[in-house]
Amino acid sequence: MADFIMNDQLKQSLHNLLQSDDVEYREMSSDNKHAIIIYVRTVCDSEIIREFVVKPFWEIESESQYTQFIQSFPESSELTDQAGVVKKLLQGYVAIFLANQAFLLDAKKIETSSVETTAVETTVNGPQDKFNENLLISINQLRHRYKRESLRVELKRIGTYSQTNLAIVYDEQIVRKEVLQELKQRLSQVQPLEIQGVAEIAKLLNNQKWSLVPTMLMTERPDRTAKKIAVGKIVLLLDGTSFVLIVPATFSEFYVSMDDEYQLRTVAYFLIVLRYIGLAVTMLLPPLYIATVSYNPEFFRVQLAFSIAASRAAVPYPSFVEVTFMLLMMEFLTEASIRVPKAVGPTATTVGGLILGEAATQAGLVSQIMIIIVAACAIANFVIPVSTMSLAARLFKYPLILFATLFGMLGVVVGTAWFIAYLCNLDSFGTPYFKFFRKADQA
Amino acid sequence: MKKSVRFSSLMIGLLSLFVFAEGCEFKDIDKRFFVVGIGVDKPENSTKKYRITLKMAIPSGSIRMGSESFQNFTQNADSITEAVQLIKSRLDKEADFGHTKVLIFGQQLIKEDYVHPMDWFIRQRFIQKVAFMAIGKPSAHDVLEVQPKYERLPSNALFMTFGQVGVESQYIVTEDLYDVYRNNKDPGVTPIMPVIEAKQDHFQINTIGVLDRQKLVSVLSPNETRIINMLRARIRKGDFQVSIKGDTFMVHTDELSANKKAYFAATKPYVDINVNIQGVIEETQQNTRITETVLRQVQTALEKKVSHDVEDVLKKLQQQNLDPIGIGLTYSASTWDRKDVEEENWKKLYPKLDITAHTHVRINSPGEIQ
Repeated sequence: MADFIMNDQLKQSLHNLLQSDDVEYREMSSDNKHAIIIYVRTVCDSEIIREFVVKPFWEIESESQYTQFIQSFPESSELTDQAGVVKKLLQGYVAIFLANQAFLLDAKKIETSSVETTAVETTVNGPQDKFNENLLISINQLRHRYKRESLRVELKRIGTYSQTNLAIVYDEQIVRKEVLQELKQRLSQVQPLEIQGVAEIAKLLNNQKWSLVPTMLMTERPDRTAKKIAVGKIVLLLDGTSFVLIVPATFSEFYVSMDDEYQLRTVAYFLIVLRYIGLAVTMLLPPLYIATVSYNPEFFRVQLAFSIAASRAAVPYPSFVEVTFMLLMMEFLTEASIRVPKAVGPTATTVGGLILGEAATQAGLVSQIMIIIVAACAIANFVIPVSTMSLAARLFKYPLILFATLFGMLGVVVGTAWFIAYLCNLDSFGTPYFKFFRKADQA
Repeated sequence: MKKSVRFSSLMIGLLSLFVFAEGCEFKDIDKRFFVVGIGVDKPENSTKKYRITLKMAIPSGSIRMGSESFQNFTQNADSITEAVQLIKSRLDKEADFGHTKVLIFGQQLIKEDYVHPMDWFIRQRFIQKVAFMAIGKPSAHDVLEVQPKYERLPSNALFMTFGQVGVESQYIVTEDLYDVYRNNKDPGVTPIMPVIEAKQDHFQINTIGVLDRQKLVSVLSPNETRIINMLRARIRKGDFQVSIKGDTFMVHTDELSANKKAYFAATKPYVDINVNIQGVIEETQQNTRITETVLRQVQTALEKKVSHDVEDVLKKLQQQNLDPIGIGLTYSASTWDRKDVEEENWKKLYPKLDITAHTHVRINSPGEIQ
């Protein structure tokens, strides 16, 4: 009966779709009416379908009344574009084919975790909520924190297969037009098959293939995001992930925690300085150890020089082997404690920390000073508040270690200069990346 | 993309150039022997010019007082370079001079010559130019052999003493290598060096040797030493003894400053040394009650005594044509002549220069509660 509504093309595509196990195809026939409903079980709310599609079908006598009933929902529309049916079905619509009419009813079910507290960027005094995996809830959170009428939300779809919803959010009045244009242009150039995390977009939009530092700020905090929108930055929200991307970003923004905004100015400055010292420590301590121990021991005070010499007396390998070995162990530990299943949890760190540190010195593989250096290096690394930068900072020391091994103190100095030159060379969507002391309202 | 590739290749290219600019070689700290002191003596029964002692530290894991260990290597040779090379042939690790902070000349040697051995110290790029210089008594080797019970690391006692991190004494004068070298070259000033006397298990450093351009001329007494130290404005703390009316007072100074004012253009050129002392009375012999009158008397007596001491020591040095406080520097700073003319003039002028001292003493407290 309903066959005349479906043309061959639609039939063919429906047939393809029906190969999937979670697609439902139901035919219902009562005395005087007949209907076919098609929907994707995993994206639709079966409760809605049962309550508003199936149940009324048996309760309502005539087909015309049932048609009127379906039409009365604001979420329903008459199916006119047959080519777009499959797309709609995948988005959570249910298609209802009647004798001579067909309808689409929005029955989207959204599996979401409720708004949770921050897990990655924690603060002491600030707001504790993080973005939701549902794009609409995230935008809702953002709108809640930024109630200006010039806030624009542009929805896009990205990923040929995944068709993921992407929202570009900015304040139209203060956004820098050229940055927005550049962003949109770059977005239109990339055509990924599927996108699951917002960091993937960051990777795609980055012009450099091998970049050492993140040039787009990734955050899970709605308050940070709202603050960035207020200075004219652009936010990318992706459906299905609780992280958002903020462009453009500068180096110094990765060293600001939201706590800095909520503390006294003096405390905030102290914390910021502390983080840069942390960066210097995590970057420079191991290479400096090599440079001083193997090239310029006169750099130390005589007391320290002697105690290092004594504690290294049992170590058979040159300093760079010692450093590389110990750093490798430290990286294993860090990586293991992130990836380890929650149930195994503290075992990895306890075993690693206790046994490695103590036993390595007693076995004469590394000196005691080395343990202090590795520990300081590992701890200082986690002082950096934005996780993308913190993870990147783990990498910075290795080229410097190479330079220190080859050229000593000179290598460390030149290597650091090279790193700074590299940062100066970068830009994030036209904004100089390594520019400090900008005015607060400048994007 | 292209820009960054170009940039990186440029940086890598530049970096690879540093392979040639590399200053020191790769050698781990535990493969080095740290030389913590060098002594240069005159050999006793040998025709060689020098007897060189290198004090090598042996690092130990647990650093406790009196647990230091070191070994002295001695070698007679005609040059320091040769001696060092010969000593190296007895070692298993590379000698490292990065922490060589004490350079000692034996008493016998410095009476003849200190300029030649110092030449080696100055030319070695690995010896710090801020190394402490001293005269060893009875010999440099004996000083390096002393092992004080309170010392934790080899030579650390001398590092602490001269580095002024530890003790502050008005008798101890610190002279760095660059200081002695510069003063040796400068016509307006003559160098000095502290004298370290080696005792059984400690050092005694309370005199200075005054040098001319070539050798040691005289050794000052402890009292003269502290006057010179005071005039060179290196110390602020000191104690002075003064006697009036049968009682003897000790005055401790908190503030001590000295400056010199020269009048070279006067018909009879003269130098005024102004000393300012502020302090408290620290000790009395007869427990005299200190009234304002007594206080004034002590002040006046101390002023007189200090002025007298200062004039005494400076005149004595003047007769020997020595100028460790650098009056000649003031002269060259206030004349416009050509360098050689200036030098000639100064040589003629200095022996005739009249030196007077004026002391101003202020005693802030009688040091007692009444």
